[in-house]
Amino acid sequence: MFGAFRPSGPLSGGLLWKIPWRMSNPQKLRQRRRLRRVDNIVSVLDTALKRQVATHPISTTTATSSPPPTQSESETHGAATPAELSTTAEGQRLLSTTTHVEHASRRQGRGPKQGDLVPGQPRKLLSEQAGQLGTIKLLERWKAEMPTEQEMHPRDKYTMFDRKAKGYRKGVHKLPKWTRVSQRLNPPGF
Amino acid sequence: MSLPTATNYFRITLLRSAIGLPKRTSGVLAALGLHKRLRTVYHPVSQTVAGQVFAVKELVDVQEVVQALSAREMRQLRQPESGFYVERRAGVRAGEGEGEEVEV
Repeated sequence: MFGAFRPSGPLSGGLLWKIPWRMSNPQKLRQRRRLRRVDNIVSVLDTALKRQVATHPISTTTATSSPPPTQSESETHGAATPAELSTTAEGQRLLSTTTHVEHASRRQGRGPKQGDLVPGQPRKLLSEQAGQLGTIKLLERWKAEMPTEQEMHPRDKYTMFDRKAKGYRKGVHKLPKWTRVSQRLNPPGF
Repeated sequence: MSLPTATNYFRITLLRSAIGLPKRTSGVLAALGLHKRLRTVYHPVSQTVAGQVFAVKELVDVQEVVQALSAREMRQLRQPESGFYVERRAGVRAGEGEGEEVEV
């Protein structure tokens, strides 16, 4: 039509990079395997940390966890005593951070984020409790909130919420980097 | 499987790259020492490393092992048998040197 160009579909005004609206069966198979692989990794981390706690009691592993919120006055920062520290500005800053900070005052008074509090226990941060127990907050939250591949409805495995689509769902393969990102939850009712 | 008394290790292998993902993800991979695909690193089991692996769990394969291998040891495990053995070296008299290297 225009010289050397053949009148193909894309050149006649069609879409070149077409993506089907639904996934094929092999695509769905690979997606299930990817979900199972992530579940397996989460269980490996969980059992490894539990075994670590069982073989090394938590009292000996406090050095590796996050810094404790409270420190006794007898503890020193390196080799400096509190009396020596209070003479310099940096030392005074170090001394002030050792006092326990109320979690309500973190985040400039807005309080802890949703999911940061242990359900059932009033005003206890999940990250602190996890650190004391030898696990990590991320793992505990994942195990509590995220479904495994067995528990997931097929609709949640292969589609995701989209407020613009007709049925408020679109294929999960349309999510950028969907093979390298965990997308398992959708708003309730959709 | 009995509980070992020593510290276990995570055997972490990078399977998918972090190209196109937020820079935080490639930062975590760099912190773990995974700069190329299919490289394997060993890290002792701890909350820190577990959190790092959790951040990149979609890109990585993890096993819990007892022994940590160095890069040299991993390379030696990959080397195939040479398929020959040296009977005699030129310039070395019989009985001198370290003797034959007999390989099955």
